[in-house]
Amino acid sequence: MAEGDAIAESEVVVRAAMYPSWDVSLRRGTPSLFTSTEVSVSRLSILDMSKIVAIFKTDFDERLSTDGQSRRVQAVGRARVGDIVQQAETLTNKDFLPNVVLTVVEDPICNEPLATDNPAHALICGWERQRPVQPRSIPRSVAKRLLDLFGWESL
Amino acid sequence: MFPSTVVHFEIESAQPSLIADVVVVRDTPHLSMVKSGLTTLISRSAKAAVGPPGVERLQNFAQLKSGWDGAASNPISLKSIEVFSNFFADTGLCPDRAGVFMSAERNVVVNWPDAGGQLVELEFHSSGVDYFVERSGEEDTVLANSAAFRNLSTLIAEHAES
Repeated sequence: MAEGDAIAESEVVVRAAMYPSWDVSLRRGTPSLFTSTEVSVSRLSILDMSKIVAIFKTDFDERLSTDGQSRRVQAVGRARVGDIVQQAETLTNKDFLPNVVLTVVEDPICNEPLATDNPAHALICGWERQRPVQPRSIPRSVAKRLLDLFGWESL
Repeated sequence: MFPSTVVHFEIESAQPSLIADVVVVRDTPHLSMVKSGLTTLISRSAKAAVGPPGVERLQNFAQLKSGWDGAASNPISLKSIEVFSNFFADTGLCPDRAGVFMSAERNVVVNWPDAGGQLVELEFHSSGVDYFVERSGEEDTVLANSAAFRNLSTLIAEHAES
């Protein structure tokens, strides 16, 4: 589980929406883009958008493509860290807090196999609300809020 | 002479595994055979629910090999396709504007906006279905072949119309 330092609430992070979690023709994705215990994002305070997108494309469009023509990275979205954390602190339709607490921590990638170095890499982490040292997957209700929060731009 | 390739379709279940070997002779027919093999796994109702674009996407998901999303990623779960297929065959649901996705856990995901534009989502996995109804905030997992699985049809049917 990620052990990096927490990122300031004022920072903005970027998430890639990739095939097959995104449908270009429907302009819609699935909240499962955000349901893991750890969700990869990248920090705009460390690298600018063009450099982050270049890393996404190197790792996903070029390296894993079998025909050299696929475009797995189909959209990018961005959101403020404070707003991300807040999505788990808003009551559900049933008037209780979701059983998850979110943190956003630095997690730079360096010398890892099959991954381009990315000093801006960070993670959105889900934790049990009552025991916030225990990782947990992000509930779909919160994941849907995150999906809506990141204003997606097609690539 | 083109190299031949053997494609294994393995259905995960409590029953002895069903494995169909398909021998093909070149890349394009290879992909064609993968597609046709997958299509036979999907019920008519499930095909109707997701429409031709959804079936096409499922066929393309089936071509994703191990490592498609990093070292730990695996091909789509054929058991997930089976549960997806059976769910729509059992319920006859045919939601408008259904989209088909594949989760990081290699499961089939289907979602659609309800009449108010709020999302309904089903993720089909080897033992059942994770469901989410944004309007009511309901979110849970039901096991296939359970009473809850059958009740899920009623709940979802209420949100199947756009």
